[in-house]
Amino acid sequence: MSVESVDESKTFDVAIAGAGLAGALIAHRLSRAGLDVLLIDAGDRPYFDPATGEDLRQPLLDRFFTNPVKMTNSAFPDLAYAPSPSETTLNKYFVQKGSLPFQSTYSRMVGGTTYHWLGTALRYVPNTFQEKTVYGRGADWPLTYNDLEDWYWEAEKAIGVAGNSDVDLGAPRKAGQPYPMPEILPTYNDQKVAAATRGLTFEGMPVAFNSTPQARNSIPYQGRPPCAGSANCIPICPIQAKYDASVHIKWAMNPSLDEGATIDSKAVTPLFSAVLQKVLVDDRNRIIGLSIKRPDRSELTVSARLYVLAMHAMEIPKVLLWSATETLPHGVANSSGVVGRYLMDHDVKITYARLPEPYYVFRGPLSSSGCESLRDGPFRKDRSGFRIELQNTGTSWATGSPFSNVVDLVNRGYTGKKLRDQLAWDVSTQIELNGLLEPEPNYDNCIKPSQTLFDPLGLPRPEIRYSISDYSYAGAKAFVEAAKTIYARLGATGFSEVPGWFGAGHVMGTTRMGHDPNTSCCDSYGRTHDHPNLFITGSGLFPTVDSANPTLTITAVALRTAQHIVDSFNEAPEPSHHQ
Amino acid sequence: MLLDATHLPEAAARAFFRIILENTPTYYAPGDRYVEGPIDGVDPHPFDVLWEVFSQLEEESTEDLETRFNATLAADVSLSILARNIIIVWYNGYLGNNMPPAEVYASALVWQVIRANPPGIPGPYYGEWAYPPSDPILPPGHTPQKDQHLEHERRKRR
Amino acid sequence: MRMQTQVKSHPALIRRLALASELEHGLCLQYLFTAFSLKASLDEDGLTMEEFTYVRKWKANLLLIGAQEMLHLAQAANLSASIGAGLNLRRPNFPQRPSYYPTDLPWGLWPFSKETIILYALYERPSEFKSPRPDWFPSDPYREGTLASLLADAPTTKDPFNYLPSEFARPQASRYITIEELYREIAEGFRRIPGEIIVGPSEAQVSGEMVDMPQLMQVFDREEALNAIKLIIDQGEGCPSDRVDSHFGLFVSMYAEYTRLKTQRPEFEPARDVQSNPLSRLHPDNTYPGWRIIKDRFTRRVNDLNNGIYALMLQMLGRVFHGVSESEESRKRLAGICMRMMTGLIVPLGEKLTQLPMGDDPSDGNQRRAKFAGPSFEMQFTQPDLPFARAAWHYYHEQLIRLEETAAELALERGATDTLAAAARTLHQLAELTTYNGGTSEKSS
Repeated sequence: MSVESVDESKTFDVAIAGAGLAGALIAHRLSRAGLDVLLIDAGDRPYFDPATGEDLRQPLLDRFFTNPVKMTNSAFPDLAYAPSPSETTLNKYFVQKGSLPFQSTYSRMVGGTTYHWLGTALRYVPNTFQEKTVYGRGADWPLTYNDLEDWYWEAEKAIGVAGNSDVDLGAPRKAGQPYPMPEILPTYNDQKVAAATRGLTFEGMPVAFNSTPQARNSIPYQGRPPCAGSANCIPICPIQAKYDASVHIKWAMNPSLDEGATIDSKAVTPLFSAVLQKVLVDDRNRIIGLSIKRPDRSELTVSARLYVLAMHAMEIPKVLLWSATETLPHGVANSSGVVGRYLMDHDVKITYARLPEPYYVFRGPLSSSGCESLRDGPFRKDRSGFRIELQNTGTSWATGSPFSNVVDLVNRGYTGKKLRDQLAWDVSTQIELNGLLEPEPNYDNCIKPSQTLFDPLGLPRPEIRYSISDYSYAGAKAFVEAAKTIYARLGATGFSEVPGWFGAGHVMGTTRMGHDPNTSCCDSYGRTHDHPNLFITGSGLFPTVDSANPTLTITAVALRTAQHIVDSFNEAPEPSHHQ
Repeated sequence: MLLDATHLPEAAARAFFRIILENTPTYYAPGDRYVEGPIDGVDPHPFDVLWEVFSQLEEESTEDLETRFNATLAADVSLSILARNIIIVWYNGYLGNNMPPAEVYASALVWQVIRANPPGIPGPYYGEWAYPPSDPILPPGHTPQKDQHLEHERRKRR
Repeated sequence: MRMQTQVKSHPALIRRLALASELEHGLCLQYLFTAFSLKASLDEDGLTMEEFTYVRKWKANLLLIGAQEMLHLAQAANLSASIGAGLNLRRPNFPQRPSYYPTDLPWGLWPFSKETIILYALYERPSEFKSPRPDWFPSDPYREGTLASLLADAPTTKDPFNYLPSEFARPQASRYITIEELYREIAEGFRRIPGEIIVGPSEAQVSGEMVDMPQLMQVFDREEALNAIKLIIDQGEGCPSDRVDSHFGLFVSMYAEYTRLKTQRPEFEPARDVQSNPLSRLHPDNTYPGWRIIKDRFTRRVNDLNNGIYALMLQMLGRVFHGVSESEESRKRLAGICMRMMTGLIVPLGEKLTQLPMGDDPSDGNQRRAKFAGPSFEMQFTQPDLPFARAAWHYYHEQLIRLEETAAELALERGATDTLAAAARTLHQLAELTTYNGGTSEKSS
């Protein structure tokens, strides 16, 4: 398991704070390269046996089965000393000061939020990387799609993405770089919707439903079984058919379990139940240590030659700002003032309707198809693009189906066979289409450490100001129109739009990358402009975020960063100041 | 009859029964269907009343047992809440915040009824979702000719 | 010592592919039978919550491996079609003697057990191990009597041909050593046989899209043939750099997980008490012991119904692969019907049969034999050939209706009402889809 404590006089090669997706991938790559890595996480234990690699998720499953609230965090313990925002604890942890609440959640545990992500693994489209240039909106990335294309493929192999290489989803694929696994067989629901919407257009663009590339096995992969239709991707896949970061943490902690390990591979040193409270900087702007707090409130400082922050886009800026000192009054890595700014989520709009015949629900992954063809186009000058996610779970998000249907029918006096038949029909004829809207980055949407409200360890809670812009409202309007035309094609009736917005579970933008140190926090590798031995990872780096789930892009960027770090160790034992 | 099911698993029955007993409101004494009357001034438990009512109606063995039973229940607040709780806990596998042990999670009837895999229980097999279920769902009240014949024959043979 | 023959001619290659088809077909059914024998819910005693998660996972994995054998069968069909031959869908009934097939291993229908997993690992074993072979892996699989315990519950283990001297050749499909050798020989054939061998009609090549198998490759030249064969080998035994995701790897981890759980709690019982090699009746090719006749009349009739569905599905599958005179739409419709027969009929009926009684028989030792049956996938020796399209569709239609009536009749008896009533409904829907040159163009109702 993890070490109780670490020798504070030791200087590791790299210290990584955060054992989520990005932290795990980087830890694994660095461990393969023979670097001496310290992997820190607030979580208290891994849910696998590091000696044998055996997965140990049954306690998580049991917690889920007995939890009355079946939402994203329902399988996971909420650690008192490192609270995670979840649907039921959102405002217990977040301090909401904006005009709208920020609703996306994450899990502070070893393996991170990938335990309960849906698994959608889309690439961003090329124009997303140049939105300022092409559409006059947002900001350009210091990377183009071309720069990232090979890394996207590495990402798809690293986490195991199933998809159809012959289908164009707006992001070009090189020949000879196919998905590592064939596409997940579309559900009956998917097939019906795809057939019915053939030839449909919206504002001159095709409305095309396709199998969503997903990090979910369609054949055995990485020693994990293929999807068996457990219908529980969120909050937890019972058989690990869906990728979660424990795959790479396991290999990093024990290279003998990694088929790709080399003779150089060096096991990482894990330090769990460890919360990062401050990043320590010397007077030459070099990071000299991480100040860690343990559940018993004891503290220790760890040091390395190079540091990587991988605690996700809410905790990273919080810590950076909280680490402010007299010499760094705006916080660490924040001479630009953008740390914590441009907070984004994919704001979700939910619509649903009633089908004339059953398409069936809760069979297969929670969502396996979507429409990617309305994400990009000249309209992005004026309104958000969106992707449409087709749910395989009926209106469970919109209405709490099927449980709410049972209660409703019973209260209306249904019993016996009438109840059974009506329930079966009502639930299996549900359809829900969710729109993920592309947000416009807004400087005023921000997170800072609260000065007055603290968590049980005495660390500040995130104080958030969030709002949704006219750009997104205009996009939502278009989404609703598009959804209506789709429902019309399906012969669906009883169109409903759930009022308000919802969070997609994506926390992004708060430590944006860029060429210019005046307007960005770090370069395309995540190396902060202010501190050459400090790297940042995760979706906080993204200047713009398309309307697609960020995970695959996080993976691609992290792998590229890992390679860069390995190269910099190979070129110069002491990393020197360079862009 | 309330659940339209012929066989119910025992472990689930025990767990659900416990939840129902913990959650049954008792508002007032039952009506005169219940012949035993209060014992020493203590009202009988609605569950006993429910069973008593059902037994009496069944003895009278009328064709429309279900309708009469439902009508009797509807007129009695305690009994109708009890009956609803029974149905809800069997279908949903829980009631309010009362959760049974994890072992009975998959016994919740709702999943069978909608032909779904209980989420979190490992699913049947890769690709099962691509085809209609082996027992397709028909519109309520729609009984194809052959099925009606089947139902009739089945009733005769019981 | 077995002699290795070389595939030197076009006809020899065709015959080898026919043999490969039989093997894939048979293996598929074995994996399905074993999957069906696993418990499906916690209401069946003998499982804790954690064990249940594993049992469901193994069941899904066995069904997936079965489905991949179907992919290999379809691939063998495309390979055959490329060289001008059809798909061989015939196979002998279970059980057959170990020496019948090149595996030299027991060939039958087995419920889940430790021995069954070892057997399956042996089937799919790689010719060379990169990492040390698992310590439970038998070192000499060719030893006579390997895994004899699999046959322990058969009413008689006496080989009816025992009295014959050894020089009398026993029934045998071929003289190869392993399945993997067979495929390598086939690959050699595609590599080396001189002259024009890719002579089959290109319309006979079935696309992955038609049968919902995205990995199915169409074969239009020798190189594509080699790629297709490589995929089959890699999925079965894996390749030197990745064994873990092959069938072999899946069986190895299934074995490891099973032994761990069993050691943790000896009362762990993942499988139902299912009879191996159950039969409704004997067939001419039942020349080897290990079978047991189903005595319960209801169970037998359900088994016959399932076998009837299976036989009809094979007829239709033949047309999907050979029906070059049919329209694309027609073949696709037929393929869709076959998929629904598998998922909507054969799977639930096979599952149900492992919960129906074998029935009592008066023989000694009946008490200690398995209580429940399973799907026997028996094939009648006399099978009609249906090469002419219009008559074929008419046959399918009539046969589906007949099967529907049988299912409806059986649904009236106690024992499996819901499953059989649903089967009748599904058969009815499928019958509606078999109107020749008419019917809907969508593959599902």
